Amino acid sequence: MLQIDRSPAALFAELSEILPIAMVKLDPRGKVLFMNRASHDLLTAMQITPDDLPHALPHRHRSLVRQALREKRVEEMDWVQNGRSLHLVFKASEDGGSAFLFMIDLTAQEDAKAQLIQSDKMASLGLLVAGLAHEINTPLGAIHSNNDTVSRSIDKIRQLLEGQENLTSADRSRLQQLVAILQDVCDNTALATERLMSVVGSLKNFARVDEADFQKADLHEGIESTLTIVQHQLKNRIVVDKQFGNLPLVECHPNRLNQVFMNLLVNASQAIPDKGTITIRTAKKGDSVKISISDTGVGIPPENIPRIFDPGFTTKGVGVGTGLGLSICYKIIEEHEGKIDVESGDQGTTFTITLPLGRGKKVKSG
Amino acid sequence: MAKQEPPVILLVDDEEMIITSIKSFLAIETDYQLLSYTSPVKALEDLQTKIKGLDLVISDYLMPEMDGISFLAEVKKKFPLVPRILLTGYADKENAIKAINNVGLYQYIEKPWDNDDLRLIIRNGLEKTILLKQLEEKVRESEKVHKELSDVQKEILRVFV
Repeated sequence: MLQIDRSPAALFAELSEILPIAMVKLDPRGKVLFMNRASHDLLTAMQITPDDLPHALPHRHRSLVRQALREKRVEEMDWVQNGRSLHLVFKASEDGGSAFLFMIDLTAQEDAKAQLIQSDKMASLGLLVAGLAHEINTPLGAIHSNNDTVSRSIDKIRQLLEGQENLTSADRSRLQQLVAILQDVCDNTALATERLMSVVGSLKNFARVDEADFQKADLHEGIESTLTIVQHQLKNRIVVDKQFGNLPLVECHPNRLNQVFMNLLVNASQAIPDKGTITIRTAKKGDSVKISISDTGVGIPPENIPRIFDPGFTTKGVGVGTGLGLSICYKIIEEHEGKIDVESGDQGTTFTITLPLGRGKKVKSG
Repeated sequence: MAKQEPPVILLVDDEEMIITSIKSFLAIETDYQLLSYTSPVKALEDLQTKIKGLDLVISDYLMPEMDGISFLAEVKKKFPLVPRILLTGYADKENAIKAINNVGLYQYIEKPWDNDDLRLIIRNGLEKTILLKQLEEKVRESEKVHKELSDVQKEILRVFV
């Protein structure tokens, strides 16, 4: 049985202090009458001075307070501010003279949901790419083979032509010219086909859908195929300097790491406004490998550094970035029991990934 | 071994364009006799009835009616010594390799393939068939000789003992 050994006022005071939900009491005009500790903490975390709450809240909250009081019902709205997603609930007090505002922090759930959607998207992209590569390979196989057959046939025609004696010299030179054109076109198609084959090869390597488990993989292969995918963003603008060391095979999720490489390479290219260089270094250090990706871009302002791995943090315009790229990189590297560090200044930014050669547990036991 | 008939190759791929490509290439570079089918089921039917001799078989992996592995396993029942080659696209490579180990295929070729590789694989496969046939013949011959020898031995024993 609940023992009430204190006055209701004292009980309310204690309860409101320990309540993990932000609770604010507002007068009918929206002025703050009372605020519990959770509200203080939340607003401080959001870099809002608690006294400024009425001004920081979206303007619409005033009409919701009035409505909650007038119609004695619960009014709700969402509020996204400074990287936080809050759900606001307005409820009239018993006497109808004031309104309670509860601020429920949904940031963690929203972030988790966004990350899930993003990794779902990446998984679907992988499936799509693998399916496409498969679909392309059949006609590509036919084209590649046909072109070779045509080239061989042209060769045979040329030989026949040389053995032909009853031809006028005009006909002979016309035919030779036609054979030369055919051969040129054929060589050209061969080059085009090879380019296409290398792109499809990279797509296949990038997607690697049939490989769900941790496995030993060549990280250089992953970096190379990812470079092919982001090539169009770098073209003619950015020089890629590969300083690859001797890397052993690393136990990893190759396609997940490719996602990390892609994110870092795209970020690096977007950080370089005009022309510049992206340097990729790899090296083995003891029981781990280090992969660093440096750009000669604009750098990250020091005040942003602590937040770059936060989900939803972005400085790119709407439609450019989702603000999820680096948070997903962080998560993937964490899954690999590795770490990702950043250094940034006027000269550009360097991301360094450290990965254990084998998964942590195995290294320790072995 | 006197007859020098061109080797007979069976090709099955549900894509007409792949058949045309391989047929055209083999036509200008080899004298192989190519039997081609877009339906593995029809090919099996003809294998049971019409096709008497076969030296090598190539099959696509992913086909709507039946997959290449099952098809080649059926071919093996009728022609156990004939080399079986699987043509694979990308997405099924892992499965195909597993199946190669299970069913015992001679080789697999990935699309898009290189014509020279294709020709080399076919040629090596045919050589293997020829060698196997020769080996079979040699074994038969040596069995015959062995039998003759033991007959002689029996004869000697009968005369002297």
